[in-house]
Amino acid sequence: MALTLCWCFFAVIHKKIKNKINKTKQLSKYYAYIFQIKIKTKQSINTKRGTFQKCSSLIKRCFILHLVWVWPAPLVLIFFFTLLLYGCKNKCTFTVQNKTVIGCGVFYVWLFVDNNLLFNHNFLVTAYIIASPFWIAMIRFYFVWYDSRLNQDQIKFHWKQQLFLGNDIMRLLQTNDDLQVLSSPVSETSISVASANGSDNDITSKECKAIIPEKSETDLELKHPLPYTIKYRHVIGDARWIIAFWLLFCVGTCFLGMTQLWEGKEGLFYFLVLSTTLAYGIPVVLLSLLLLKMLELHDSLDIMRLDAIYLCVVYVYRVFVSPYALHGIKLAVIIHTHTHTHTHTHKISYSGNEKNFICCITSTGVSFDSNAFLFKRGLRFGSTLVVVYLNWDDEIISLENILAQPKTFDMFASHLASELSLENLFFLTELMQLKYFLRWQQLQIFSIFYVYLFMPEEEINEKSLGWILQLPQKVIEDNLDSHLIKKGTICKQKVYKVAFLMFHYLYQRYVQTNSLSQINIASEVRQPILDAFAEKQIFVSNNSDLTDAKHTICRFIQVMDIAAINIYRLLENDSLVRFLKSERYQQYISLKGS
Amino acid sequence: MGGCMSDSQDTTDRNVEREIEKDKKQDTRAHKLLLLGAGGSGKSTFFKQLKAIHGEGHNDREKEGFKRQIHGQVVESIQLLIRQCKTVTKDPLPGIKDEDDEPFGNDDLDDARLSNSLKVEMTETEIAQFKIAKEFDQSCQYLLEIHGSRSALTEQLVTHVKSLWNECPAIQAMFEHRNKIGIPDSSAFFFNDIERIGRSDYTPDHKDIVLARYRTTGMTEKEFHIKDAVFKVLDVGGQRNERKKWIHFFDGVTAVLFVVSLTCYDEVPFEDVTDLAADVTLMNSMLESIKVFEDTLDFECFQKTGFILFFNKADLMQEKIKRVPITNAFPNYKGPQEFKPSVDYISKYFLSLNRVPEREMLLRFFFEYVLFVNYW
Repeated sequence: MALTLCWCFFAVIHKKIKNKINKTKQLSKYYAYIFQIKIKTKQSINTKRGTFQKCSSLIKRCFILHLVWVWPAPLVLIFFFTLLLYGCKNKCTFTVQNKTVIGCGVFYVWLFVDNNLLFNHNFLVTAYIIASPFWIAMIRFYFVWYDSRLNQDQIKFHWKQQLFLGNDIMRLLQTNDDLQVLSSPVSETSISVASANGSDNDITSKECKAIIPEKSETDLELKHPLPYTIKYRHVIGDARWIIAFWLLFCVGTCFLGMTQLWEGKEGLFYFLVLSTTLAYGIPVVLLSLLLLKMLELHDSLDIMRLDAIYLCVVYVYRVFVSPYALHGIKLAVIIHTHTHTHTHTHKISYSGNEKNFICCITSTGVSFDSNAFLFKRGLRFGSTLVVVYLNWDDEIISLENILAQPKTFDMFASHLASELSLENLFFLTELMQLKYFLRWQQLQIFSIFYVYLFMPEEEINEKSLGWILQLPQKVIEDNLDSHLIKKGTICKQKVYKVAFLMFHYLYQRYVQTNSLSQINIASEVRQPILDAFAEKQIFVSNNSDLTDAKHTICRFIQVMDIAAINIYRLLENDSLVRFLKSERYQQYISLKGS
Repeated sequence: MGGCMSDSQDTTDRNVEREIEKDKKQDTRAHKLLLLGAGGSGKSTFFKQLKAIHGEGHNDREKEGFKRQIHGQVVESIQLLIRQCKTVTKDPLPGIKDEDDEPFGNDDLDDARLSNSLKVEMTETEIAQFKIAKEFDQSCQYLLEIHGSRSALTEQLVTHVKSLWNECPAIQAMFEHRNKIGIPDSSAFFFNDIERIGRSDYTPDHKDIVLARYRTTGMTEKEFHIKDAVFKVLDVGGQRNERKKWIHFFDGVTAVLFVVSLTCYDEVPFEDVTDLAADVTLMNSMLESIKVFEDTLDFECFQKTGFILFFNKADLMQEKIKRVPITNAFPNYKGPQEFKPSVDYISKYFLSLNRVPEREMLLRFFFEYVLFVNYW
């Protein structure tokens, strides 16, 4: 850390002496800005969360601008350090390259600091050659990361396949516009289907054909979009050879250029420039594309898409236009800081408990892993970046917090899968998806002001949505058909129809006696649901009164909420207790705590 | 690059294989015991006691979990009591009511009640005793609005529960009918001790842990080392939907520990609980237990498996037999309304269900509140 600080300090001094006065002013301005905001954020934690978020995003933007234009060198160093530390930590195959990576890093920084050196071609070429192992390490790193990601995805993919809500609704809407299935009473349409589980009672799930898509292995894979890593597995496999080829090309041209220089042929200077630009420019483009893909995976492109693209354009421009294409690597660093600042501020929106987060000023830990690892490194390189993160408070472990964070949500889900009680979580998730859909549609079709000022009779307001459980955005959106939450695809009348179809699906899958994945609820809770559905079998499709439809939906929400709360409590009092002492969770905690 | 990756892949593969082999070896050594039984018979309680005696006991983290369970049980029981009182006296429920839906809801309930002539009709005076007085409205409102997600009991909650439990006769009257509305017996113990439980520094002692009752969902397994032998005990949920999952662990079972609650002959199963009008002679947990037991015996893979029948809650049975005869569940029983002959009859009945004579059947009784000795 001291070393990093030294470097930072040195670089700042260096800049201040050498650079134009304008830039120095700019720099100090940024610092002032950052510190001001730091004070502000401390206050705002106590008062309002909204302003807090705004501030942090402002800081982030400032910092990124600052990073791009003023001061990239120390970050390169930090990047190498994190790379090294990550390699040691995960015991992946970095050990051979560690020393060379550090060597390259130091060399790079040296080159950068003393600009005059760059005009000496001998130095330039030596730098290129020394740097080549670094590229290998970079790509290796990406593949290691990719493989771990692939493994995770395959585990997750397996159980996510079973979330059906919303995936088939659109298709049903198109083909089955009159809702014939629903307009006839349940008893007539009931088709007995032997359960896939083949359990002791030989369960028959009644009319599960109505909405639940038929379960067959091949169908599932087609219906559910494959995760990115699984889908592009073979592409990446091929790409390895292409990248290897490019690396060979790099080294070859460098070697060629060097021999030419030694022989003193000045005419080949242009060839040198061209080859180096190619050698560095193309891997940079390649890597930045890969990194962009990774950005997507970090669910950070929703708001920051423009920024990322902007950065890319700026950097690609600089790489190709500037005569010495050295700073390409910075792109990777910046995109990564970018991702992480983003993921961290993002987490705030998940948290329901205000006591849970603090703000602190740290440098960035540049890593490919967005969880605990970054958190620790971030503290270690205490420098300039304002990172806002959740304070992992061990004492406040509630199911709410566990379900609100994507990482713990996944862990909890796989724990439930191992205990054969995943259907409880599925029920909660799908109900929340439904509510998410309703809320989204409502906010899209009518402006918020309209809904709150006039309170139209036929609209569902926040209050009638009932009990909302905070789940990770990713879980909710990934498994919901994207058409359902796209502007302008569903008209007002259809929203209720879709909602009704969804309720019907929930009812058939979870509530009905002997249904496919029946949940553990008392008949005291089940009976109102059965009653509600028995009454509302006939849901007039197109010309129905919207007010009436709204009341129907509200009634469903009410009865389902009772069941959902019941299930939530069951999870909290039974499964959570065992989850908290499970080996996996304990490992996770110790990783975070240390 | 690719070569190195596949190397690491290979080593992990080998590790996994080694682990699988190790597991297999252990599996052959360990005796796999299945804890089965209908809902609420005390499988998890048995499991807890096993853990306390033969396992490493309960550490602080687990105690925290039990504390959560006890709090959950208290809140849920009191909510259920209030709701049932309101349903019987047809008070509108504050949280769930919506003006527009009222006509449907009540009509529907009435219709259901009228159409079901088998259910017991109640007189006006009987209903009146369940009327919660106006002064408790605030407490009811507060308690009914509690959702999950609270791990600690607040002071306010404790006072509300205390006043309702100690001062409201309707709640007490309703609690007398706990067998019909699915409230565990141990809730009374927790209600009485609500102040101790509500304290912020409360840690459950052994009795609290054993008495805590909460539904289990899914299954858990735990290994016990008793005198060189390794027992792998599987605890499962007993409700109807949970029973569907049992089939997944029937492979390679040494013995089935079937738990039957002795007091359940007048209790309505959790899945059938409606209101006080329920008729316990038509559906009770004892009949359910018998059905589950028969189904379990019939499994192909259990034809040579030993069964150990545990009759649980004998102490509560001794109390209950004075009030209720077991003819609810066993209409053919002609003996006296006493503990010993009744239990004998029940155990003989269960043994007679076994149609495979060479199968080993063992009978055990134990009291819920008393630590049982080593049976093996």
